[in-house]
Order: sequence, then structure tokens, then C-alpha cells
Amino acid sequence: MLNLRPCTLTWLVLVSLTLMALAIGQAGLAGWGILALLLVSTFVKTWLVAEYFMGLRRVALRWRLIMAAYLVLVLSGIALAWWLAARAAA
Amino acid sequence: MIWIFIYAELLVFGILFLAYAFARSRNVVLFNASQLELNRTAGAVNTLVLITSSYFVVRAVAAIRADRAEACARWLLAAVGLGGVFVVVKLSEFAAKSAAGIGLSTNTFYMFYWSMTFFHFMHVLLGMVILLAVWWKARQGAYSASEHTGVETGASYWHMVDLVWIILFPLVYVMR
Repeated sequence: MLNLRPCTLTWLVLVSLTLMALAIGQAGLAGWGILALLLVSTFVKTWLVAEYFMGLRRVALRWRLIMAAYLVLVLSGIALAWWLAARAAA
Repeated sequence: MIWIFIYAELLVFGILFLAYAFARSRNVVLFNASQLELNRTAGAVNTLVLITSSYFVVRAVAAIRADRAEACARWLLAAVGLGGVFVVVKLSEFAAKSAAGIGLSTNTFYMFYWSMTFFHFMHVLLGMVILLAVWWKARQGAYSASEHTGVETGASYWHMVDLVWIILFPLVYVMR
């Protein structure tokens, strides 16, 4: 059984999700499912960096909440913009 | 204090990301066509480079917490080295676009591409300067297990630079 440090495990997850995004890009995949996958994986990646690399899990709760709110706002804003584009094209 | 600075930076990038997304909603065909001209592999390589560099910085912080100043300095230097790789890859991407006659005023997509990636590029350069300063002080024995605020501050800034690119890469290079 591998006994990896949390930061090493985090790095492996980040690398895997990045390679997945590259594969999606190279294959030219699009659509709502792909967009959701990319947005969720981006949320997971940024949250892992904030929690395990920046050490946000060790600081006051308000700083974590601000980060969570920031990521949710930005990523849901991107989803909204994609939805508006699809609606305009329909 | 560093968190206020980091969140101010994130706010600026967040506004740029949303501006890009909503500008795209009015120019989907143009954005999708222009996006195909980007070098996705270079973008992904730079993501892997920054992620790994951030990981090295985490190891540097762990080393100084264990009072291993020399190991801390080595990890920091490795992180700066990867920052240098990012700079080289990005400059080659910028050069290829310039050689193809693609600039800030080519179209709306490229206006955002150049603005966002160059703005981020400047943050990478500043982050490397900060990490080099921290590395230098670590080598001088300025940090210890009980006092290493400078290492943690520099690390947080570098992670912020990484975090921004983690959003920028899928948004500009992949999502369509």
C-alpha cells in the first residue's frame, strides 16, 4: 500500500485532471456534459490547491468561505455565459 | 495581510474570466475558431509545470517547518526552475502568434487571449522574483522552524499564480 503525503496525492490528482482536460481539448469534445465535467474538475483542482497547497484548511473559516464563494461565482458565471450563448444560437 | 492581497488579485482575474465568457457568448463562432489556433499542448504543459512547481513550494514549506533550511532552499530553486520553463514555453507561444501576425487587435478573442495570458505571465515573473528572494534568504539561514513567515507568504503568492492558470487553461484553451 502506497503511503503518499497528502500534497503528493493532491499533485497526482491535479496532473490527472489536467491530462483529462488536454485529452478533451485535443479530441475537440464539446456539449453540456463536457462543459460540466471541465467546470467541476476545475473547481476540484482549484479547491485542492487552495486547501492543500495554500494551506487554507489551516486558516480562519472566513478565508475558506471567501475562496469557495469566489470559485462558485466565477465558474457558475462561466456556465451562465455558455448557457446564454446556446440560447442566443437556438 | 497576504490573504487580502491574494483575494484582490483573484478578484481582478475573476472579472477578466467572466468578461471573456460573456464576450464569447456574443461571438461564439469567432471564439471557437480562434481557440482552435491555440497550442493546447503548450497550455497543458504549462499547467503541469505550474502544478509541479507549486508542489515543490509545498515541499519547501514542509522542509522549513522541519528546520531543514537547505532542503527548503533546494525545493524553492527547483520551483523557480520550473517557473523558468513556464516562461520559455509561454514566450515561444507568444512568438509563434506574433510571427503569424496575430496580436491584441486581431479580434476580440485574441484581445482577451493576449491580455489575460500576458497579465498572468507578469505575475509568474513577479512570483519567480519573490521565490528567488525567499530562496536567497533561506540559503542565508534567515528562516527556521519557528520563524518562516517569508517562506509561507512567498509560497501563497506562487500558489495563487498556479490557481489562476488552472482556471485560465480550460477556459481559454479547451472549453467550447
